[in-house]
Amino acid sequence: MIFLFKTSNKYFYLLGVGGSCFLGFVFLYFLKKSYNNKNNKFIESDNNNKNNFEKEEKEMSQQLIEIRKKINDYSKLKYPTKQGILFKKSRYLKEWRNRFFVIEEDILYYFDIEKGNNSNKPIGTPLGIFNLLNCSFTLITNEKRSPLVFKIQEENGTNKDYKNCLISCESAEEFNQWFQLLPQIKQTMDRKKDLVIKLQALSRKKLQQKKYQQLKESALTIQRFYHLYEGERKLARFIFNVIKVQSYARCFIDRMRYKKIKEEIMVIQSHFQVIKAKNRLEKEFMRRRIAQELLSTEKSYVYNLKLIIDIFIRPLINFNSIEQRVLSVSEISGVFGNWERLYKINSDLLVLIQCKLDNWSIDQTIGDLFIENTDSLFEYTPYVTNYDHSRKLLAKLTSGNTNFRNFLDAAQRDKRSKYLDISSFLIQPIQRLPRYELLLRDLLKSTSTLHKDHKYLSKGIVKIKEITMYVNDQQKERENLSQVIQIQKELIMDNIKLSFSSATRLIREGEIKVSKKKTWNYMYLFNSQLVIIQKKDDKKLVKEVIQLEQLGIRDDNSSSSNTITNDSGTDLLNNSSNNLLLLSSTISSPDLSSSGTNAINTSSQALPIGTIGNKFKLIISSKTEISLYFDTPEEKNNWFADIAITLNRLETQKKNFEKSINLQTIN
Amino acid sequence: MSGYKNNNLVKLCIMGDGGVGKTAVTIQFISNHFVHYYDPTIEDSYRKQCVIDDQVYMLDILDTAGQDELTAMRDQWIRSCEGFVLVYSVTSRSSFDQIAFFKEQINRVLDSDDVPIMMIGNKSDLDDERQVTYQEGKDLARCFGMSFMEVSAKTRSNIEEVFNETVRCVKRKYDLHNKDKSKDGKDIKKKNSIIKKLNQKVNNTKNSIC
Repeated sequence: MIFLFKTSNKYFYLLGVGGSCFLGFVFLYFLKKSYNNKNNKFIESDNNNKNNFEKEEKEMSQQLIEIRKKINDYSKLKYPTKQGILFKKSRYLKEWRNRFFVIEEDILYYFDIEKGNNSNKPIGTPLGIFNLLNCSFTLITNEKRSPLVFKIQEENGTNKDYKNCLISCESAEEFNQWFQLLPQIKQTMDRKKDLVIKLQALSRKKLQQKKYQQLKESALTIQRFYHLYEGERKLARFIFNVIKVQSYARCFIDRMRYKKIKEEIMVIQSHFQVIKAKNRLEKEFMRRRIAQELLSTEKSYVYNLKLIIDIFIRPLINFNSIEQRVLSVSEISGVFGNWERLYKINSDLLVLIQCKLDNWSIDQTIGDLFIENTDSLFEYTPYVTNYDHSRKLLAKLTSGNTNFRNFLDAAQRDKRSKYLDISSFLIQPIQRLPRYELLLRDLLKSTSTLHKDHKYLSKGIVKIKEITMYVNDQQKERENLSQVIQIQKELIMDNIKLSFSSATRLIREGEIKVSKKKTWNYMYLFNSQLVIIQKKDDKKLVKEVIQLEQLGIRDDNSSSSNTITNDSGTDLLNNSSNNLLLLSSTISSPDLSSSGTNAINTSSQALPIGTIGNKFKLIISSKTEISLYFDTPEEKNNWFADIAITLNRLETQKKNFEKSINLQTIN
Repeated sequence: MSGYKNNNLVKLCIMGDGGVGKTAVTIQFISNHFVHYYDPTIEDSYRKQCVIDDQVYMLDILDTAGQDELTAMRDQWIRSCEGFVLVYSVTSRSSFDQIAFFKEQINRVLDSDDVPIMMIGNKSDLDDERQVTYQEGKDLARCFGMSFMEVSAKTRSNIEEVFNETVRCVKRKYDLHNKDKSKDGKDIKKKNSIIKKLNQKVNNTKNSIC
């Protein structure tokens, strides 16, 4: 606007120099109007090059044609710059006619004038149009009419009809005005053109600025987007971090879970090992405890052995005078046996056991001690075999000897004896010997098979068992021998010879009858012979002695014949099935010299039918038979079984003897 | 047979098959406790003073643990005692079958049918493993003329009653023995024959029952 103002001021100055303010204002208005229109056109077209400008001119000529069509009347020209009546020379007739000329913006119009009246109004469409921007103005001095004539000629016009025209005025002043005005309009228009170009450039700059702003806005948008992207990126990073943390946490949880599982596994393993170790410890604990019991029982046993020596044996021996003596030396040895020897044996054993337990460890052994050092326990045999005699002698002395009884009472009141009777002490060696087997067996249970001591304990148990069974067997033989001797003393032999050997054993004795009508007799069954005696006035007379080697027995009351005989020429296996049962039962029995219970069992097995009646026959030879009658069938069965067993045992011994003779013969 | 003494000393012998709980019964009676996992054989002779029928007695109890195969040495034990307690386990049929064997041995060694014997079935608390019924034990005891009880060393049921009853049997026998001694000599033969007949009848009754 300032530029416009400057331009308008300059133009106004020029117009002022011209001397016409109105024209200046009109021109200014025109200029403003043209500026607006041009400006709009140029802005819309937006062209810079000359070619574009030429195209523009063509368009303007076309526009003139359109304007000519549109402007049908002078009244449509609303803002003329200058207008008036001028003379125009016609082109073909060469006549000067009156025409109404109007300048509006940069276009020159001329109209026909109404005839008749003096109103001087233009009528009808314009007769001709000149674009002043393309026209040139020249003075012409050759015309006859007047010297005031100028020529308007379009330079590059396309319309041949309006190429040029001659214009004159009535007065010189009017001529000067029109002639000066037309070039000024052209100059003004050129200046306007430059201004438009500048404005166009300026508007172009503005457009650029707009573009820049748009670009800036887009940049800002992009930047905002970028910021959003930043935010998103941060969010993504945050999310990633969260995920990472979660993954770390997950790894941590997995690791913790793995740790827990591993710990549980370790706990289970350690628990299992604890259980294993506990079992091992329990076994070791039991083992140690049994070993300690062995020691403590041995200690108390040895203490009791020594107590008897201190309280009973030594005081009895150490009486000074004969008058104060309570028991004789033979009586003392009769009651106490080899007690001092037992004390020595077990004192030595106690020292060994004590030494083992003082050096106790898991690898300690005890069985080897019993393998190597228990041969001395065989010396318990004299004491055990003497025990019955000791007990009877003690009873006799207690009842007969007043001094001894007082001595025993005084000894019993001694606190060291714990108020136990002397017989309670005397029975202890017999009790102690089997206990070794019990203790070692318990110890073997608590010892694992991998332990070194397991083998030793097994052997130790076998050895202790041998010792105790030996002592037991010796006692049994002693009893049998005393029994046979007693019977031998009681028997009276008149004419019959009866001899006993050291191997004679009493198996059974009882009352019998030889026939139904006679009185009761008595019969002894030894391992080699059968003796029948008769009792008269408390005397026992030997009536008959039968050797079992030639004896046979038969039970006629059974449903089938049941005969057992050892005669030569007769095979036992050819006899009835009862014999086979008897033989098989005899062989299967663990001990041939069995006691009554085994005999009963054997009888029930061998003689299932022979429970009827109370007698059976003794077959001495083919001619002689003796019938034996018993009180009850049960007693008969017992006797029959014992005799049968004895006969079978003799047969077995005989066969073994013959085999040994044959072997010697072969050798 | 040792005589009965004025100081009321009674010697008892605990017998039975191996593993029936002889020592456990004895320790439960003497010491009032049951040994669960470890069965010690510390003491061989147990002595306890107890009151039975307003009378003070001193019991001397022999434990025959470990004597299963030592028949001769067991005889020596039998001769030392006055009363006997035969133990079997209700969870073991074989230990029940051995009772007859022990009874036979006692009668043979002591040469008498009139011996105070108490028969007890131990481990009565193990009903799930029971192999011998109460009626079987009672019938066998009646056949042999013995008193019968079922006990449990673990729960201490009937432990006191067993030893009280055994002492009563011993005392009853002693009183009978004293009465026999107080009789005149003239009636001894007649009394013996009468006793013999009674014994025969009793034996016949036992045989019929068995």
